[in-house]
Amino acid sequence: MDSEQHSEQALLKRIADGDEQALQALYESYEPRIYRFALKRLGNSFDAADVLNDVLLQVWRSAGRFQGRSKVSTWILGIAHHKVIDRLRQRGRADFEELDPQMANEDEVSVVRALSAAQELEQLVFCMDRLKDGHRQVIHLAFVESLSYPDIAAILECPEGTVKTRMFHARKQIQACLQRHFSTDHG
Amino acid sequence: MHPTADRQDPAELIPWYINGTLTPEESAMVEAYLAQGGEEAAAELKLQQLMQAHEKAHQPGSTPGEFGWKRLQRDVHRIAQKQQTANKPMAWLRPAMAAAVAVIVIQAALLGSLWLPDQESGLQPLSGRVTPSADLQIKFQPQATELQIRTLLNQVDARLVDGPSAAGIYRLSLANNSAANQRAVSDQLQAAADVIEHVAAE
Repeated sequence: MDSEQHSEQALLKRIADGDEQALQALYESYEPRIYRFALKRLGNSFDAADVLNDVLLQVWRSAGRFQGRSKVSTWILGIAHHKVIDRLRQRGRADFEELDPQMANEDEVSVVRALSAAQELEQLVFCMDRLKDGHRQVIHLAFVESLSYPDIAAILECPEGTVKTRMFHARKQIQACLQRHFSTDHG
Repeated sequence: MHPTADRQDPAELIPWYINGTLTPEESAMVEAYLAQGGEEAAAELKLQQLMQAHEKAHQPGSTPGEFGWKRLQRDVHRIAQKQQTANKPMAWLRPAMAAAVAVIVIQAALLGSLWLPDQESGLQPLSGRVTPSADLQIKFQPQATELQIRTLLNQVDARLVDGPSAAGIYRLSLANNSAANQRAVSDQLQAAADVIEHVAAE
């Protein structure tokens, strides 16, 4: 166990004992991560702030039950994942799981031509914003949180292969989008 | 054909090669793929590096910060207050319990006064006084429960006909009061040492 893990686990023990200062330290450490994670998925700063609050309240209540089988960050972001899903369900959103079945002809897209279009930032933004939630979530966890694919799988409670496949298809969809909308040669 | 999850495809590992979380073996696999993959593989890497740069650059600048902490702190205090309220004994509980105990004591006293030994002694059947017939005398262990006693008496087909005496001795009547059965039941009761402290013939 590395020193960061050790100190975070010690923080959780203090929280389990009702130490409010320890909770504040954890809040300061995780607030941007949880908030950004929720905002990415929910697209609404009020809902994201609610999720942030709900997650840390749950940590406050259940820190004593953390058994150290996973990293503290994986445990906390896993709670955030569940809170986000709860909120999406409240909104009546049904599209928070699995891949877009309409991913036709990805294989016909040239990554070289897509890369050329991606050099224009607005074009890449356009296509990344059109990804499904599940894909955006994996991209966020890999590229912003810099998490390994096993950690992402633990947070999302899915097989590691699913994480890799989601990321792979996200990239393929971006390629297809770039070529469809922006490539001068639609070949 | 799309790569499947049941085998390690280096192209699928590129995002984690970029974020530096692969094992050395996996990294080597990706590097070999990139070295051999030519322009296509290089473009895959570059596109995902751009995706990473975009994703990192487009994070919200402001977060709830201090306001979020104050809100969390307020909710934590509310939880603590609720818990204190739940754990605190209710002010009315003690006098209510005292009143309940008083009612029980009064009821017991009233019932006791309705069944006085003197009253019983004044009653006799027309055929004359019936003396309960007993076969054994027993004394229960102080810690024996009603359930243990009932179970044991049912097993030996006996009933209590008198007692307790001042010494805590009860008298038992057996359904089958043959001498052989009396000995057998006596042995059986003595064996139940957790319920019976002492057994003797009448």
